[in-house]
Amino acid sequence: MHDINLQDGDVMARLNELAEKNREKLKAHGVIAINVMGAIGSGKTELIKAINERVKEGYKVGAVAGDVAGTDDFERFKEAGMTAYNLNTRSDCHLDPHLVDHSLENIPLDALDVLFVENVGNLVCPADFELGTEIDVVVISVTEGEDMVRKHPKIFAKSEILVINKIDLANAIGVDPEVPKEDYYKVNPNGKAIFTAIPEGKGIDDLIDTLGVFGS
Amino acid sequence: MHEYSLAKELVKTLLDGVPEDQLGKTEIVHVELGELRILSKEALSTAYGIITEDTLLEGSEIEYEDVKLEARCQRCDFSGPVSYEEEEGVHFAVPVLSCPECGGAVDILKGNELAVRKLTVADDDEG
Repeated sequence: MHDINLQDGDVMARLNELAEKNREKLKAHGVIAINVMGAIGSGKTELIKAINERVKEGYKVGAVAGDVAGTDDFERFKEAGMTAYNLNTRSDCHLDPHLVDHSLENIPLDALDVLFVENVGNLVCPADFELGTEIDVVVISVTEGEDMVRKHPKIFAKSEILVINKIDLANAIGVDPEVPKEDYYKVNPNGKAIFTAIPEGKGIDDLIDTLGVFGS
Repeated sequence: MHEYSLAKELVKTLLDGVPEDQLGKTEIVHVELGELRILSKEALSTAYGIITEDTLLEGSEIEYEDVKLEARCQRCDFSGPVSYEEEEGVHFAVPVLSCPECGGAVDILKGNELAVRKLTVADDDEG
């Protein structure tokens, strides 16, 4: 037996090339894309809608509704008056740059300023794929328990923003939202954790400011 | 479970990058696996075995080389390994993505790898 070296054997580089093409395409159309990850039911769709509601006079916001199946989130975005594309992975638990490329071909980029990419509903797999987006946001809700960051540390270490949602329910279910916040800063001291409660609008302005894509 | 989709990409990478006469003789695929990848080696190897059935790569196996995380600080001159969060509540040592010297944000130099750098192939007279 003998060894042979491989010049082009970098699997992630191949995928990242596609992600870079997505980034260039978005840039060419003047669109900033935001990757939104988090478990099913953490509130990703409602957060995106809440952001849109506050910025829609000045910015055209769109969304890719990435889900395994169904059109529920897509319909929610449409009902909110947003430009949206429904992306069903059928079996995959994450989006990849191929799927995002397909989405970008089917969404009118010239009609948008900001595109949210809702990345299925999983705290493991999405973290391993660059999509071509500019900002990674992870959304958790207090109803998922205090130990979400400890159970899935790498996705939090890699993400610029952690949204701790449904903060209005924390007392009712006996969860201290400071626990995931502290855990997040241990693995990601340069990130930003934000508490949100959509019914009362808590934290939405802070999230909009932190995203930094909607001007001042 | 995203090992299957990445195993497919890995096999595509090999089919594109390795001459056909070498593919059939491949016995070991040496894979560098970065610490920041969230991948199960067992699941990746199983997926690889299934995907390569009835291909020239059938029977070949993956050997992993772990790549530790290294980062470069965006603020000071630091470049090297980061520190780890090893508190009891965290179930394994988690790399902290900030500068261990000054706490600044970092660029990742190593740790994101999923890459084949070399193959071990049978010699011609080994059949």
